[in-house]
Amino acid sequence: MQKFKDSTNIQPVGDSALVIQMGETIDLEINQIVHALASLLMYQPPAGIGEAVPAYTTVLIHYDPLQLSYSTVLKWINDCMQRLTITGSQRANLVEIPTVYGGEFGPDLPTVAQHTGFSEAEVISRHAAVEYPVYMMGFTPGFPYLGGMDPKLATPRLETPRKLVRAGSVGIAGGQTGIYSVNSPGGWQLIGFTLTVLFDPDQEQPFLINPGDRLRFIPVQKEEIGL
Amino acid sequence: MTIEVMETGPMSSIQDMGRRGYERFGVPPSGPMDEFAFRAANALVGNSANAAGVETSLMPLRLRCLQNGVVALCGCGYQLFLNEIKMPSWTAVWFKYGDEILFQPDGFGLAEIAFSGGIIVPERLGSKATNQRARLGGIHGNNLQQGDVFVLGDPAEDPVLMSGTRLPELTFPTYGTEVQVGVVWGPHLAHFSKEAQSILLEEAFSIQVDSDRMGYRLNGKPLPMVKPADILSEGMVMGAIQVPASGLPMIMLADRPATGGYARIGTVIRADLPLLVQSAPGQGQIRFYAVDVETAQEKYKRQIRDLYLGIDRSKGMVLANIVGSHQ
Repeated sequence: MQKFKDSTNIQPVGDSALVIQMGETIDLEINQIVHALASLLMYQPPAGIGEAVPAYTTVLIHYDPLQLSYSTVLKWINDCMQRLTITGSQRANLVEIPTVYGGEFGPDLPTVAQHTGFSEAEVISRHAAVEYPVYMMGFTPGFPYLGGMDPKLATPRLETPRKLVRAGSVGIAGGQTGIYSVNSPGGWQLIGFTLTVLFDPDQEQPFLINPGDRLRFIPVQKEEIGL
Repeated sequence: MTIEVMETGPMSSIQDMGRRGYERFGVPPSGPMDEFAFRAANALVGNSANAAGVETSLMPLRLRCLQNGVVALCGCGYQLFLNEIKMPSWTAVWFKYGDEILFQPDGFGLAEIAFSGGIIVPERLGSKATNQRARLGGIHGNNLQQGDVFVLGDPAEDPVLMSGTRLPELTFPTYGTEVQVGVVWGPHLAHFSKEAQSILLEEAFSIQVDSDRMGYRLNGKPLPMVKPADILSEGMVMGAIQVPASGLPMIMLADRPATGGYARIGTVIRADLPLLVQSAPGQGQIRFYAVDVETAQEKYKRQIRDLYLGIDRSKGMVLANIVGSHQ
């Protein structure tokens, strides 16, 4: 823990934000510290502090310069960093995503199977075997950046992206896996589909997944979820 | 208690000061491009800073008033006509039921428009700001369309008493086609050669015509990089100067994504963002100067303080004249 505190770098990002950098590579341990720090900073922050935005190795803090000077924010952050501890027993929230794999719900599963040399059943079991850390979110509202996909499942994106991919589509793009959180065009290889809603602005909790969560795909039959 | 949209281009949208608190979920803040003009417009009509108004650019916006109130047009590149009579900008203008208001483009610019009482639309994720891609805010998540009708809230004061309040030009940022824009360096300076910083400070840049609310792409001398432009994605701010592999900077603005994966050489200071966004694509000349955070913050605080003091002073004078005329 101390070695991370020592190698931390804090810089202003213009006059209304600053960034705390804790590393330079995609690393689960660093990312866990990033999320612990973001949570600590968001617990009863002083007036004028805006949102802490965690990412792979950084936490960006937005603040209001009409209320707080850069040096005041810097001091507060250094105070928080002193108080930051990671207990070994800290377990992130696990989100389970019931997923119908293949057939009409995974039109590119045969492509992935062929490219990787596995059977379709083997692709599914390898994909569903992993607890994926949610390193950060972004790109579209509610979209999780998942880490930890089995590198043997890596398959290049579609040569011609689809004009429309439905929200809930589960796919692979290169060495990454993810779930479309809104309808959008897309070039991912679609291997499954979930009815679970990731983003609904009218709900009390608009987002199912939080950055720092862990995610697991649960293979189900389409009848089990009413498809 | 409504205003009807008779005619509009595609770039009219309802905005408030922005949707905050969801950037870690990938929801950009939206909000006004010209913060100074937006604040000024709201203050002139007696609204709080976060009241919802309309931003528009490029094309005329014509409205029919189905109630009384005051309106203020702030920003650049537009003229205000009330029933075809030209009225001043940066001024609270009284309108009554049946009046027609036209915002007519006059050169390039962005208009920030406020109505007394503010625009009432449902809040999505805590804000009325329009984000078309995510279908949030505004009227059903869309920019304004012909035939839209929007409701105004109750004004803070009697609109008649506010009419004539104005902001003197002395208080404005120095808008123009040639502007000087302050930059705070970082956070990815290690990706750039020292020469890149010199180029940014010594050369003039122009804005590409395909620029929009997401960001302004710049034309000029490319900035040499010593490390690849790709970085691990991290949180994004307004005014961030992103530099992709081409070396040509792109300044991220109101509809920027919440996170980004290109190296940034610096961030435009908040006090100077209005100068940048109001500088005409294709014509404007931007020059950058370096400044530290403390100086940038002082400039911004002074600018905002002078804005509200200027409007207060004008309100005092208007009221004094109204009271005085009864003696």
